[in-house]
Amino acid sequence: MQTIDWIVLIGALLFIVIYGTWKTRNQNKSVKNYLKADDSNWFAIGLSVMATQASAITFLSTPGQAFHDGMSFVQFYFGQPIAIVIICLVFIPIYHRLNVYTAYEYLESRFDQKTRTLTACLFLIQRGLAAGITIFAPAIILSAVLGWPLVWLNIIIGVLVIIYTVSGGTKAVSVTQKQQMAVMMGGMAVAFTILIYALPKDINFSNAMSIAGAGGKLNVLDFSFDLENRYTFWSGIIGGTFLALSYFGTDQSQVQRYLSGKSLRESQLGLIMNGFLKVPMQFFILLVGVMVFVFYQFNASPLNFSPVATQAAYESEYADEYHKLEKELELNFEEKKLLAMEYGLASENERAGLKEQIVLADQKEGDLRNQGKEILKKANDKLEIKDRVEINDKDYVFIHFVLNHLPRGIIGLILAMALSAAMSSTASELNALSTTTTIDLYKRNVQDKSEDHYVKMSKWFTLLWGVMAILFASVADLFDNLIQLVNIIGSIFYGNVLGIFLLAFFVRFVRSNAVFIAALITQVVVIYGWWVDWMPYLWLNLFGAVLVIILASILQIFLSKDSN
Amino acid sequence: MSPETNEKNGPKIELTWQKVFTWMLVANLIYVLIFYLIMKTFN
Repeated sequence: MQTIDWIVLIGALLFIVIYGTWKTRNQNKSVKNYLKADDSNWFAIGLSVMATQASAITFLSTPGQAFHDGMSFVQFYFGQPIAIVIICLVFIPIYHRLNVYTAYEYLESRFDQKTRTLTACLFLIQRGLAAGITIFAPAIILSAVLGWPLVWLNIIIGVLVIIYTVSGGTKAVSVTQKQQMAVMMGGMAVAFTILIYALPKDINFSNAMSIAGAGGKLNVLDFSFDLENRYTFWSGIIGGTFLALSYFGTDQSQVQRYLSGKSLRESQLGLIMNGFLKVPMQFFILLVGVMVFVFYQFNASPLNFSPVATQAAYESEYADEYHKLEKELELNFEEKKLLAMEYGLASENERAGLKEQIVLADQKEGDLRNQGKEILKKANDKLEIKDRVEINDKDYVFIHFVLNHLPRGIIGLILAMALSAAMSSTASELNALSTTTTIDLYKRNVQDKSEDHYVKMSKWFTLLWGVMAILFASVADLFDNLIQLVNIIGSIFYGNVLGIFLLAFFVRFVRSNAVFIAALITQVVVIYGWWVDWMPYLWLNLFGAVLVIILASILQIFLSKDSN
Repeated sequence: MSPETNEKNGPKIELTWQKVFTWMLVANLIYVLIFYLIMKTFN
């Protein structure tokens, strides 16, 4: 990090925080003004929705995913446009007609207060934990590569977000997300351009794509019905639709973004903008990862991109074994470099023979990297749980390239990009947590207070959730595989919440008591199912949603008979 | 859904199931086609 990088990084972040706070300094007049701020146009909503969804992990991890496994991950987003059509034409018109602040408010008008409170609480548990991880996940990566203290990074990200989110509420989140999206996409565009220019003189973009193709990185589409394969066209269409329906339709951190539209149509168009742009945006981020792969065909790369993992291997009793693998990787690289250059410049006819050799060299590289990971696993087994290191290095591929190969100033921009992404997602989460706590729990139960009182309480709740997110991020390091734990918690609650909303929208005959009892039973069954390991945890989403719908329908039939 | 056409600001677009669904379908078919062509060209 040079002085110019610090200037770019601190300048970009401070500008966003100060601008957001100053621009929204008069947003405190009423609860509506502070929590809803429903005067946004479709473009601002679209950017806000995209900035909320794109966390720092999107920009740090996704290129690494393309580097190792190619571009098939983009299929995961194929269901999103379908879900958005349903949300735009069913969910949003109802939310607008009822003029709600939160998605859960609608559940009281459709069912009753207890169902609303239960769903709001499920959201608060799940999103409250996730907010800590949104801060922790990039902080742990950046602290590993830059040597910055993890706790201070957590505090800095958290405090910057708290300043403008407490000060300006929903409007501040939306205003800052415009700048944050500009920094994020600008950072990726600059990294992509530099990558293309950093390739050898004779290798243009088209040659680079051919080299990536020979390395098997451009297999974007997979139409097989293989359930073992996580990313296929079909899992994207079916699983992706379902997940996007939960996330955009029932998660307050997204619902609040489009409810800030000045009219129904602006809200719908804002979400539709995301439906059009999400797939190309994700494709572009993956393409950056593919170009990093091509770049490392001509430049030496480490056996494991994580500096912490590499250090752990050097300090273990397997250091000699690890160094031997590093030497082998180096020799393989020299061979691959020549092959890649030849392949890039060869005619169509000459490529067939060369491709086989490239595939073999790639396989060897993959084997060497896996052997390196096996050594790390053995070294990990001899350590205390708290001292163990992350073996999977996909989170570190892109940042390794940035820190070692990008010019001064640009490193600062890319770090600003990662922190902006973390801040934009965290801001939406804190804003949504505070709104749900204020509207669904506090204001619903403590009535007849002044507007000023509720605005003040919203600010306190934002601060409280912000402090909790920082605290959670700071102790997250003490737990083994915490990110997975948060994903599991999400899967346990998400399905049930979506099921309740689907019942509300589409199963008219079901009434409040049936839904409430079904939701409680479902939650217990899903937690038990997870405990005894009935299925991979991602499927708990679908299981929870289907179970609550079936149970509520059956219960309603019995309850109706009883009342007759 | 009743289309809103009296807005002073913003594009004058009437949203219907058919229109939104068709736009999304066409756009995403184009994306899939582009991905397919990339695979065919460079693999």
